[in-house]
This record gives sequence, C-alpha cells and structure tokens, in this order.
Amino acid sequence: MGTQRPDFAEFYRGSRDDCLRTVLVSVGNRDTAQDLVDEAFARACASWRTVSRHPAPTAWVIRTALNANISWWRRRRREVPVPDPGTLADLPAVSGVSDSPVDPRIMAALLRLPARQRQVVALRLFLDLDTARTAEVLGVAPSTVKAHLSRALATLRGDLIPNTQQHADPS
Amino acid sequence: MNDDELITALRESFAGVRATTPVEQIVSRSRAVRARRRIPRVAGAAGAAGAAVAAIALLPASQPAVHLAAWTVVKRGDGTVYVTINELRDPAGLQRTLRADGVPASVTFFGQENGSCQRYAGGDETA
Repeated sequence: MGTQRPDFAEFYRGSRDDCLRTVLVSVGNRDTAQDLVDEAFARACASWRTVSRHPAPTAWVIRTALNANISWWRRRRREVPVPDPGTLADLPAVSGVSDSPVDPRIMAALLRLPARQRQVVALRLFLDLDTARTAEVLGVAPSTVKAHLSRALATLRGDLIPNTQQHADPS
Repeated sequence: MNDDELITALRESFAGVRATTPVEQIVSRSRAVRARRRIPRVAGAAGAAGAAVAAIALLPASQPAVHLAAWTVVKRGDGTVYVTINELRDPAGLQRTLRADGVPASVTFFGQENGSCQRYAGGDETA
C-alpha cells in the first residue's frame, strides 16, 4: 500500500496532459474533459494494484473516461452539448474552447468529424496507440480503426491545408 | 503534407493544454471512489433559494475545511459534508470543491451560468 502511491503519482504526472488532450478532442469541452480525466485517474488510483499491471494503463484511463461520459449520457437520456464548430472557427485564436489554448480553427475541424473518427484521431495523436490497441480501447475491429483514421485525416487535410497555404502565399 | 506531418501539426497545437489537478486531489477523490464501491450513500442533499445544507455520508477522508465568503464546505471526520450557502455566488467553485471532496454534486444558481454544471463523471448525482 505504501509503495503504490509514488508509482501512481509518477504515472499520473507523466500521462495526465495527454489523457486530457485525448478526452478533450473526444468530448469537445475543456471542463467536461478535465472532470472525466480526474474521475478516470481517481478510479485508476483506487484500483492501482490492478491498473498498474495493465499492458497500457493510459489506455485504461482513456477508456474509463469515455465510458464515464457515455454512462452519464445514458442516465440523462439527452445529448451532451458540444460546441458548434461553425462558431468556434470565428473565435480569437488564443482563447479557443472553454479557455483551452488550442487554435479554434483546428478545434473546429476536429469537432466537425464524427465522434468515432475524433476518438480514433485523438488516440493516435496523443497516446500514439497502434491500430490493435486503439481498437481494443474503443471496442471496435482493427479494420474499422484504419478506416476511421484514414477518413479523418483526409477530412482534416482538406479542412486545414488550404488555410495554411493561404497564409504561406497571400496572393 | 503527409499524414505524419499533419499529425505532428495537430499534436503541437494542443501543447498548451495541460491538466492542472494536483495528484493529491486525485488521490483524495480515489478515496471517494472506494467509498462509493463499499458503502451506499445514506443521505441526500437539500437546497433552498437563499441557503442550502447538504449532508452526504462518505468514508472518512481527512480533508481540511474550506471557508469562503459566499459558501462554506466542511468535511467532518465521519465523512459527513456540510454545505452552507450564504450568498448565491461562484457555483462552479462550490461544485469543484464538493467534487474534490468526493461529493457527486452539480451546482447551479438561478440566473447564473455554470459551464461545468453539465455533468458529473462518476456516480449518481445528488445535488
């Protein structure tokens, strides 16, 4: 008992930022993401003896956070509000979504993706999970993960690259 | 721009997003998680327009009392949490404090927005 706390603290400090970013992309709201991640880490801490032996504890935390989000949604039987991507794109560059310092153009492009594609992209972006592990976290087939990732990246490229090129070449 | 370059650009755009919750608060919340698993809550919460007192029994988790002008949250040694609201102000702060003590509360005051009041990630909502 006494030796597990430093292990958990080290794990938490090393992975909390990437977990928050992953969940933020998935749910689209900074406060909600923070609450989900805190709850997931609290559950990990409560079961640290088991979680620490998991092959990918970070993936466990993400799955727990996303499941908590779904559980809450089911209890309430109504849609979890996600910021309107159309209005996000018009926000000043620094403030972003709920005070998150993300370029609103990028956040808006991510939020325009279907939820599952967003989750796949987030797991690849911040946790660098391979296809098999991503499929395990999301409970889908590996081929589905590949298809979602491919479509998501194509959409993001279409949304973001023209703007980048306009910045590079004003004419 | 290939996929790897796109992923790198997206990843860098989130570099400023950082979790700020101290590990001590997570560990404290984990005690509440264990409490939820072992013991059902025995008391609910009550509220009124001007003042509200909520009593929720949880397992003991030594948290010092927090005193603020608008409201007071006191966690006692037996796990009971007392909330006294003197002024309808800062619902987000009250909600945050309660959740840090393991109380699955969503707080909102009439006429005031609380952006973080939408949900509680774990357990059933009480207040």
